[in-house]
Amino acid sequence: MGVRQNVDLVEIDKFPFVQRVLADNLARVNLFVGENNCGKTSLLEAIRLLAADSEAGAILSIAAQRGEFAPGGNGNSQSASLPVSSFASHLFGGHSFEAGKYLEIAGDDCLGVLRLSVAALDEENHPVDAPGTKEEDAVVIGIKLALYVERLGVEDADFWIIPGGKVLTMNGNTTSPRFRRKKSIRSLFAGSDMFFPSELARLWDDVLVSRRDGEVRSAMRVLEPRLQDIAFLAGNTDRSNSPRTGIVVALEGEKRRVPLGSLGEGVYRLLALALALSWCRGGILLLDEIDTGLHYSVMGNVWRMVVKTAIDLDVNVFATTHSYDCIRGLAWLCENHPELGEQVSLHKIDRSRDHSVACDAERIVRTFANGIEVR
Amino acid sequence: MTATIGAPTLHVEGPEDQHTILHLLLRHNIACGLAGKSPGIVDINPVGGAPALLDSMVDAIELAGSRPVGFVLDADNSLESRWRAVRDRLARVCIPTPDVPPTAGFIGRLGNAGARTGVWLMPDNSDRGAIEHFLDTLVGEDDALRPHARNATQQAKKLGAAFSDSDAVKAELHTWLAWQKEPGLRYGVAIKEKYFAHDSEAAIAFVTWFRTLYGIAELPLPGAE
Repeated sequence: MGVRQNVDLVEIDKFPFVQRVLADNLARVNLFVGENNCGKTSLLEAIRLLAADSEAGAILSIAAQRGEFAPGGNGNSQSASLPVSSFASHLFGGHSFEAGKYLEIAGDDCLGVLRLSVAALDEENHPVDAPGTKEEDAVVIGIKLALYVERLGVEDADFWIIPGGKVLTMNGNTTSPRFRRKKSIRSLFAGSDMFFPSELARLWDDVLVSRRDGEVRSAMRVLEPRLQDIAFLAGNTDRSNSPRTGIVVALEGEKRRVPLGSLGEGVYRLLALALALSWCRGGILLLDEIDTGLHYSVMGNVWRMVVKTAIDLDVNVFATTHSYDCIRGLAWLCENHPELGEQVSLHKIDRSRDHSVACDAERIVRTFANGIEVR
Repeated sequence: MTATIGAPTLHVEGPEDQHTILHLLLRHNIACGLAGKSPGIVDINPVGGAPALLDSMVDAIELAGSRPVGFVLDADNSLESRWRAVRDRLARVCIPTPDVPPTAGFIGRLGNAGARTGVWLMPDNSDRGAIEHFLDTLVGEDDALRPHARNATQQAKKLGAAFSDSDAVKAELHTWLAWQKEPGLRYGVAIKEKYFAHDSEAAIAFVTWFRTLYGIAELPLPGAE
C-alpha cells in the first residue's frame, strides 16, 4: 500500500496570526486542535493549496468557502471590481495586505513549496518595485495590486490574480492556468457544503463509475452493521431545501429500503465521510470540523471508520475540531485499537509557538486519562 | 458537560484537593470549574495522586499553549525532594527554577513569551506537609475544639488507632469536623459552610499566587469604593 509517500511536514512562513507555523511528525490521520484563530483551518488551506493542481482556482475556492468571494460573480457587476484583498487578504493576516508581503508554504518532497507574493502592477499588469504600496493607494496612482503565485521549481507557474478574481498568466493570457505534477494528487476540502445531497450525489457517481461503492458500504458498516446497500434516487438529490431526502439504504432484515435520514444525522455524515475518503483514494482529505453533526457517543466509531478506511484506501487525512468528544473518541480509538492508533497523530496549534505540539497514540491516551485539556 | 473551552487549568492531586481549592477560591469571589463537570474561569483538574501529577506536568505545560497552567502538590515528607521532582519536570520544558521554592509560590515561564506556569507546594512552600496542614491554618486560634481534637486523636492512637503518624493532622481535622453542626462534612463543603475560615496567612498567599498566575484581578468588596 502507498505508492505515494504521505505528507510528513507542513510549514507556513509569514502566516496569518502566528508568522510561522510548523507541523511535523505527521501521521496518516492527523487532528489539528487549538483555540479559535490559532491557524488550524489555515493549515488545512495551506495543505489544500499545496496539493492543488490549479493554485489560482484553489485560492478562489478557499475565499468562496470563507464567504469572502462568490466565484463567477453570479452576474453581480460589482464582483468584477472586487479588490484582491477582499478574497486573499486573510491569507496574509488581513491588515497587512500590501506590496512586498508574501506567504510561503512548504510541504515535504511530496508537496513542494508554494510562495504567494503581493506586488503592485502597472497598467499592463507588469510588476513594479513599490514595496509597501497598499491597494487603496495603488488605485489612486493607477497601479493594480495583485497576488503573485509561484510554484518554485516548476516552469510556467507564474500568474496573477487581479481585481474580480480574474486570473492572468504572465504573458497576459486569461485562460485558467493549471500546473500539473508528473503525478497529480487528489485532494478534497470538506467544509459544510460537502454535506449537501447534491455534493454527495456527485461523489457517489464517481464512486460508482470507478466501482468503489463496495468500499463505501464496508466503511458504513462500522457504524451500521446491518447495512447492505446504498442508493441515490434519480432526480431527488438536488433538493437542498430537504437535505436528507433522495438517499435510501437496504438493511438486513428489512423488506423495503429506508431513507438514510431515518437512521439519524450521524449515519448521513458517515456516508459523506466514507464517500469523501473513497473519492480521495491515494490522495489527501481535509476535514474542517470533522465532528459537526455527530453525536458524542459515535465519535469513537467514526474515528475507527476514518482511520481504517484511510489505511485501506491510502488516504492522508487532516482534520480539525473544537470538540472534547471528538478528542475523547480519538483517545478511545488509540486505547482500544492500537493497530489503528499508530496511524494517528494529534497536533496542538498555538499562536504563542511556531511549532505544533505533536501527540502520538500513547500521548493522546495519557493526556486524556490525566484530564489535560488539549483544545 | 464538558470542560470549559479555552479555560486554563489548575492540576491538583485528587478530588479532595479539587473541592477544597474550589470552595476556598469561591470565598474569595473566584468562581472556578470542576474539570469535565462544571464551567469556570479556571478548570480544576484532579489527576490522581502526586506521582501521576508529576508525570503529567510536561504534557500539561506543552499542551496548555498560550494559557497559564498551575499545579498544586503536597510537599509530604520532604519539601526538598518534592521541589527537586518539580524542578526536574520544569527543566524538561526549559522553564528555569530557583534552588528552593519561593514562599509566595512559584511562577515561571519559558523565555519572555511563553505562558505562565505555576507551582504551589502545600501547605506553604516552606514546610513539609499536605493540604490538611494548609486547612489547619484555617481553624481559628481561639477554637476550643481544635486542641481537644488533637488530644482525643492522640489518645485514640495510644488505644491502638491504626492511622500512621504522618496522617496525624488529617485524623485530628476529621475528628474536629465530626464535632461541627453537621458532622463529617468534607473539606470543601466545610469551607463553604464557614466551619473553616478563608483568610489565614497561607490562604491569602495561595489566593494571591492563584490570581497572579491566572491574571485574575481582585474585585472590590461589596460596598467598597
